[in-house]
Amino acid sequence: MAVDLIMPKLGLTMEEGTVVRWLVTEGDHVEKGQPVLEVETDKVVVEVEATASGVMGPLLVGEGKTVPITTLLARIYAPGEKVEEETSAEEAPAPRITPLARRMAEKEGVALSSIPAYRSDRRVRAEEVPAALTRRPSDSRRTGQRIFSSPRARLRARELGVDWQGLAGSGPWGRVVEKDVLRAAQAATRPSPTLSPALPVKGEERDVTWETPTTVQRITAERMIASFGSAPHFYLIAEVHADALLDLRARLLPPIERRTGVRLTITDLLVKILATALAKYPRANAFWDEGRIGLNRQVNVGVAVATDAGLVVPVLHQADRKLLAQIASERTQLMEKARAGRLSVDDLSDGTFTLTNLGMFRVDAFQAILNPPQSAILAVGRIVERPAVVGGQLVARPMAVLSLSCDHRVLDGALAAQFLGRVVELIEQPYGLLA
Amino acid sequence: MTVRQLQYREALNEALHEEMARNPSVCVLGEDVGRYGSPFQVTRGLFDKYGEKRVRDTPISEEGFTGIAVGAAMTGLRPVAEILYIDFSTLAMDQIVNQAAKARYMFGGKARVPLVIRTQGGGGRGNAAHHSQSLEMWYVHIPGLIVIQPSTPYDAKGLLKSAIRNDNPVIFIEHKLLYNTTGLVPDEEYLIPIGVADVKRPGDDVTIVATSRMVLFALNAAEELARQGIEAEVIDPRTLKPLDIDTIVRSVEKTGRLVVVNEGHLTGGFTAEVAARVQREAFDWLDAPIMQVATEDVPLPYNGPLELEAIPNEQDIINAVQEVVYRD
Repeated sequence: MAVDLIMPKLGLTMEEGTVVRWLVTEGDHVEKGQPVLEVETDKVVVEVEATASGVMGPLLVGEGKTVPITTLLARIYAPGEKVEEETSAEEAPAPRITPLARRMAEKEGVALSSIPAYRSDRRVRAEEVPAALTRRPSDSRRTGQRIFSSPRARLRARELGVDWQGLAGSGPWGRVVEKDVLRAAQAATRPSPTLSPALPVKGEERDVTWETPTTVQRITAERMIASFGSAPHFYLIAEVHADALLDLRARLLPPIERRTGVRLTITDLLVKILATALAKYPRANAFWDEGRIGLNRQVNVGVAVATDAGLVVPVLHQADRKLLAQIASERTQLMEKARAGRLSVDDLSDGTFTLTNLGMFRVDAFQAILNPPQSAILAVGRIVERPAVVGGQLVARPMAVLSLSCDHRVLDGALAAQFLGRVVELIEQPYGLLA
Repeated sequence: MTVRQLQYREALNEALHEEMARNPSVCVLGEDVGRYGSPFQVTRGLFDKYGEKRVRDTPISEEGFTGIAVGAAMTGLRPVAEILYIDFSTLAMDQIVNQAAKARYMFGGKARVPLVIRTQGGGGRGNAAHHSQSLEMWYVHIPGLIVIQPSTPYDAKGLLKSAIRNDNPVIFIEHKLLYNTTGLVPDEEYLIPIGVADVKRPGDDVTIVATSRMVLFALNAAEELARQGIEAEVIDPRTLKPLDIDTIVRSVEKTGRLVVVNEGHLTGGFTAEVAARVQREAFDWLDAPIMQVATEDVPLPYNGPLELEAIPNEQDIINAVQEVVYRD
């Protein structure tokens, strides 16, 4: 029995999804649970897994197409099972056929589908039938003997050094058009499994092992390019005394652990502090959108997490309204889901600010790339005892370095400094959280 | 500069008034162009102002008065002859094609024929097969003739004035369903050069070249296409011969796609001419076949629905564009 693979509903508000990339092709053997395609909602890109083990049937929705949820994307067949005729969801409406054309085609034994719809109104007319007769023997457009391409596509291919003959054309009869060449040129700038073998290797084999990035890594790469290329970044650095923060954690950890069973972390405290400061500085909780600045009404703090599959940023929604215990227990759940690869679209959606903390590593300070479209991200290094001057005395104090990356289209230095100052103040005097 | 809303017919009428005032050699002749002001009212008021000597009513005799106009032009006047329907110009074909178009060449440049033949064509008014044709390509085919088809009141006035001042025979083709359309026309005098196309709407995704009334259809289609996320560039050549191919090619180099719309018949028509020129001059920039939207190869039916089916409409243009943009 064939099993349907449909456009899944990945979040509460999801109504349609876009097929970003098929990870398998028709005829591939797939295992249940194996990622078979990438789907993009208006928020995130996720992998969709095979719903059964078996052989992939025809892929009914092409890459780049957006379809409503529950639309049939493909069927997975048991080995040896007969593949059913599927009508593609994206097929154009059938051309209208004039009665005379139909009669002539029947008389001449011409398949109606081989007669192109005349002119622009998608009507098959009688005068097209004789032409279809003469076209019949050279129906190489369908047999793939010749690769069709537009002159413009070939011109672009020459300019960009793309081998158009190897491309899958998206025009009629698989014609390679300009868009296909541009896509290929773009794809060539990043290593991808289909293109890497075709990379020119001059002389002997290059001493390189090629790795295919995971979906998460590929998307991270694309987003980082987009972010670093479009958002003018600037950075503010501040050193903070962390003794009060460590003290607060030590005092709150036991009661919270008793109540919720989770251990309060410095990250939880930082999330709470950031959320409190963000509520006061909306420009740090904002985004640039084609000449406008969007101020987010909610404060949703994302926390960057490294997983085996790559970097993910689950989001603590409305963190400014949550108690530390809630933040700690939600964050713990999100970390577990992240490591298991079980984050939902909702878990990953609607972040308005990102915290990235490498404090567990031997990193003193680092600067982060903005998580698009957000206007700011805070990078936190390790907390370690450093010499500090307190009241004219040189003393050892636990310190940390904060680096705030900002989008200069949304924030300027002074405003960003005020926000960072508030964060520093709350870290050094965390009872301010009560105010 | 002040501008007013004028009807296409009023803009043409102003051009005639201004040119007759400017140059006493300019004269008007044709059927009912005098006291009646011509059936489409384009010559209104000329008779009262300039009298019978310069505004002549003629018998129903297209070949006769066209011949008179050609002779008058060769002997020093600047006649503007009106042939009421372009369908009737077939009667004057010898005068236009064999005399007016050839004289300058055959007399080694010594003869000039500063003649304008105003006429109108096009369907959609229920005038049936004898009164609805778009015969512009008959004249585009003939060396020695200039062919102009304005689509707006502004273009109509500026081009008619340029046509009257030109020393060569000009076939100036109006459209019967444009006379009542309105548009902005400046108070001040202006001329529009012959042989220069006008980009009526800029766009990056597809080029639509349209003539005469089809320009209006193309602009409407472009609005609908914009709602679908397709930005069409609409170009009105305004002068069919000499054709401003450069403006069209520049646009196609940008968009990679071309749809040509003309109310003449499909076979051997203006759409074929533009398609041929563009494939030759912009081959490497084409990303899709050139689409032709033209009138069916049938005599125009009198029956209203059939007539509308035969001539291109907005949906035909939209369909043609959609067929070549390959949108996902």
